[in-house]
Amino acid sequence: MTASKYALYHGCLIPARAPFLEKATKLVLADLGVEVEDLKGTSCCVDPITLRSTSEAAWAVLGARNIALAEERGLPLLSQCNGCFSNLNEANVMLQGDVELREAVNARLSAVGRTYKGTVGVHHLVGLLRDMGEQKVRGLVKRPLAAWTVASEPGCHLTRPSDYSPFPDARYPRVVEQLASWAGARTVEYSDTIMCCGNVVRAIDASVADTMLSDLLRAIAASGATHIVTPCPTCFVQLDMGQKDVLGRAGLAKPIPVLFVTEMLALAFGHDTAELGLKYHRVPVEL
Amino acid sequence: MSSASGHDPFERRLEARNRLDYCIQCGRCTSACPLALQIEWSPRRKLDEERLMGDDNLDNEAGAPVWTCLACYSCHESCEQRVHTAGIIRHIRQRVFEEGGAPEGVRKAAELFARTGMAFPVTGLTRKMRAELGLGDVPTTAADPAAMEEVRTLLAALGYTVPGEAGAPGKGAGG
Repeated sequence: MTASKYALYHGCLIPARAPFLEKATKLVLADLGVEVEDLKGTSCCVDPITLRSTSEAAWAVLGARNIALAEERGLPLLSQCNGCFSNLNEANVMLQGDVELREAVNARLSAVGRTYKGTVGVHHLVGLLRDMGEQKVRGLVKRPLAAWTVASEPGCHLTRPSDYSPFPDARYPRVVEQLASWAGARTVEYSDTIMCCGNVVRAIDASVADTMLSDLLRAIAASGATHIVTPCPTCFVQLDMGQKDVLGRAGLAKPIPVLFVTEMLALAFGHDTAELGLKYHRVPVEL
Repeated sequence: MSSASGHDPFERRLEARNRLDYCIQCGRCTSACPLALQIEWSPRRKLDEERLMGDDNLDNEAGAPVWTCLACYSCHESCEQRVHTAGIIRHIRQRVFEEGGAPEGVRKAAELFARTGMAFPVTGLTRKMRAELGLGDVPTTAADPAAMEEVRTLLAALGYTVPGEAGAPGKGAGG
């Protein structure tokens, strides 16, 4: 079941560093007839890797505040980022089921006049896209991506920790492949399909980040993929912006274009590269 | 396991959820860990140290491999005992951060977060790109002083400070 309108939670990475991904998301949702409202006044989700490692209490309280903002609008919360989704969904499930924790959070939130009630769901963009259904999505395809062979990088936090995931295929998510096939592309598997991209430790240990990335790219190249598609902005940044630096190490003759999942659909739906701001990609995308 | 600040509901819940006591040291987590292939690091051994030493081991974690954990949850997903290994590693980090032992990259991220409510800065380039794409201003604390004031109030009430920052002596982010 999909709602007709969602509150779009922006997070940090997309609005600050890759707003062209937000553009693609808004175009695709408009084509599908899904109304979104920008959720205003949100903070960082207290990301699951770095910032949550600084305070569990800040994670719970600010997560609850972000969800409460959607509750105040009376709309389900929609996230276009794996990290934000994993975080806010985990907080939501946990707070809905734990009265003592909810009371502790609300005792803090009362200082700023807000209350977490647990009345709205937290949704990931690709879950919504899949729930729109094959017929609806295929019906909008004006430019089938018949020349594309897509390797999916679902990203760790799309479905992990699986304890809290609403995805039925949480252990091995196939949602990106499914959407790619609806867009007319072929899909391939590769040996590290559910492997971490390594981006999140770049500030701590760049050599680990580069090794993770080059191992992933080598496996993708060996699969014969022509394009990489991801629903995660952190993976997108690593694979697109970091790729040129590890080409030799990964044994790639030329870079493989990387698309955010809604960029792929927007191209299939007939939007052009200029409208989508694809010039901001570091690896060029040609149609 | 003991913990210096383990009396607030957030940390109490975290510890219950993490199921450290269910670990049977089988090592599936380390087999599944992509980091263990690259550096001297074993989630299995880290769980053992946490159980045996708890807070007494925190001094050894400053700037250590515990901070290189990718939080990819491969350990968590591979555990037959449903131990939340990635959550336990995160809990170690939280306590090391409080004691001022986090690497500079983490302290810088926390400082940006405490100042702007965001994990990434909104720059001139951000605004230029957004204008070109026909998108409005970033609808977050970065461009909303009233919302940022709320976040600042909440963080202050939680005692959230970044150890190592000027004017932030003593204990850091807590409950």
